[in-house]
Amino acid sequence: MIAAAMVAAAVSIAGQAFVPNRLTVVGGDTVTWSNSDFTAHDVRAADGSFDSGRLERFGAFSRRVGAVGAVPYLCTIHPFMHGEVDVVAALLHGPSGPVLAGAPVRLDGRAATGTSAVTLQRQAADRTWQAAATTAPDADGAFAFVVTADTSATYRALTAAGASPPVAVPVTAQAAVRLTVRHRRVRVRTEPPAPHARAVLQRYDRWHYRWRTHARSRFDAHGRTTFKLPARVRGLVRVVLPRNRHAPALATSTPVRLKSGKPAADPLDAIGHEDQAPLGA
Amino acid sequence: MKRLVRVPAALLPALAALCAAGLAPAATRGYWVTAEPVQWNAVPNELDAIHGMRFDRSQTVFPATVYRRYSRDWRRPLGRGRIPGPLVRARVGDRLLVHFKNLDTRTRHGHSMHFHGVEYRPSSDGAYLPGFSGRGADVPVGGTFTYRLRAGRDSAGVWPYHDHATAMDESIAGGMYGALSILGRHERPPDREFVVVFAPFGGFQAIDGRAFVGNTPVFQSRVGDLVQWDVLAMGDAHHTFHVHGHRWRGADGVPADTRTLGPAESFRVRWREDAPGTWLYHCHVESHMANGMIGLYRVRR
Repeated sequence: MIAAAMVAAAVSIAGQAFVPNRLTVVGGDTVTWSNSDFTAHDVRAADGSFDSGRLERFGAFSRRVGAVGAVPYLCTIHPFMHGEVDVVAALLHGPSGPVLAGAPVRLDGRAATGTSAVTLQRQAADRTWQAAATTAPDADGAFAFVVTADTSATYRALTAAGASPPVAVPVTAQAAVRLTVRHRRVRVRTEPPAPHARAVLQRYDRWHYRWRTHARSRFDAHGRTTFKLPARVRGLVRVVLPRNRHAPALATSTPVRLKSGKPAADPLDAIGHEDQAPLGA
Repeated sequence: MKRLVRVPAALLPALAALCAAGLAPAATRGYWVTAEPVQWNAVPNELDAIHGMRFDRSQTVFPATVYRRYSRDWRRPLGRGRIPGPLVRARVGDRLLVHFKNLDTRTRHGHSMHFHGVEYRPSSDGAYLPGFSGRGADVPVGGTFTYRLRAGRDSAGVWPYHDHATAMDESIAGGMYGALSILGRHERPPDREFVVVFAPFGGFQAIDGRAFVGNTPVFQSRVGDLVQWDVLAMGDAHHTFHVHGHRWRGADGVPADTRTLGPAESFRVRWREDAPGTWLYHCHVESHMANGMIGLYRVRR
């Protein structure tokens, strides 16, 4: 819901309801209500600060919101239809899932246009907020902080007009990736578990001297995932927890030989050593 | 009655020849090709595995312009733009229509296609010569030209084609070349055909635009296959083609396991595969081999 507000602050009136019925926007944003229902509706603030008048099918009403705070509203034609616009001083977005310790975490945000400074605050153990970094937003109010994940923490962005809703960044310690191979199934878990993190199964291509992605998956809520391999896949496999494109992985398992299920050395680690066996047949 | 029978009998050899020709009629083959910009990585695995040397992308990725094959009327691309360009196939007697479109929005240079080994009129030569050459010699960005070629009696074999417009030095160094593979009128096609173009790229000594084992093509065959190697060289140097574990007979009938070729020279080598294993093929100019002109050939039982 918060992410949608970054793109467009729009409320659809459909099926006798406001969708979404709770919208978080930054002060100064314009909210547009569009009636795509078959009957007429209206939009009236509970505090009387705005009133759309009667909106026929395909009618629309826009309102620029100002002061920070919650603005409940309703349709006076159908008083059971309620909605709320939460006006905040800033919005902050964290990662969608847990992050591994040591990984850089990008926190994107947006403040009202014309905000001169934003402070990133981190909640300490005693629940007090402590400044972690300060930045100047772009002309359109966008800003970003990059923090290094060490332990799980909650952050918020503070401006002169107030603070953003808090954002939790759960952090898991550096993971060890463990593979169990049985009956052409590779079961993967990490220690500690990394639920919802991405996992990539790679196989070693000995003719091209590289690890190639064979399949992708995501750990389940218990931090487990399983890859099922066809019989034609042979040789060495490993599982990588990727960070992003061209960045080093968060964690990489020891290679495992599919046939025996036993761990093996990474062939690329051996390249360049003098004791390497000569190439060719 | 007797006379009627006798006359067709006398024509029988001629009729048989006509029937045989009818089984493999001379064809007109159309190719649709573009020149397009790409970012070309000469060392995708970022490794010289034999010497244990590692690279990063900033050392191995270069902008280049390459030939890319399309379906009829350039409707959709057939694979990526690659080094070398598409393999143009024909048989002796065939007509070839190569429809070229210049999409090089990167350099905005004019480009062309100049073909070795086949017959054509000067208008399809594709070589820029002020006062003489026509539209096909320097096709501007967005422009098209159709080269009309014929695989003549002396065209059987492997030949290069390449850009021959004003910026040809730069564009050939960037990979604007490819191969023609022309079979004899009734010649059996091989089971496997491998194109090996020796040419420098981005400071590496490359085969098909790639350097070092695992990046250069890993050619594959099975025991019993009739394999054909199409070997070409572009650039300023001589190269010596060599395949481990195999020999072939040269034109003089003498067995060989190396053959040297100079700029724009080409040849083909055939054998019936009988040597399973993973083998090396490479340029035997040793500094070239050390700088990337080496690859793997995998033969399965």
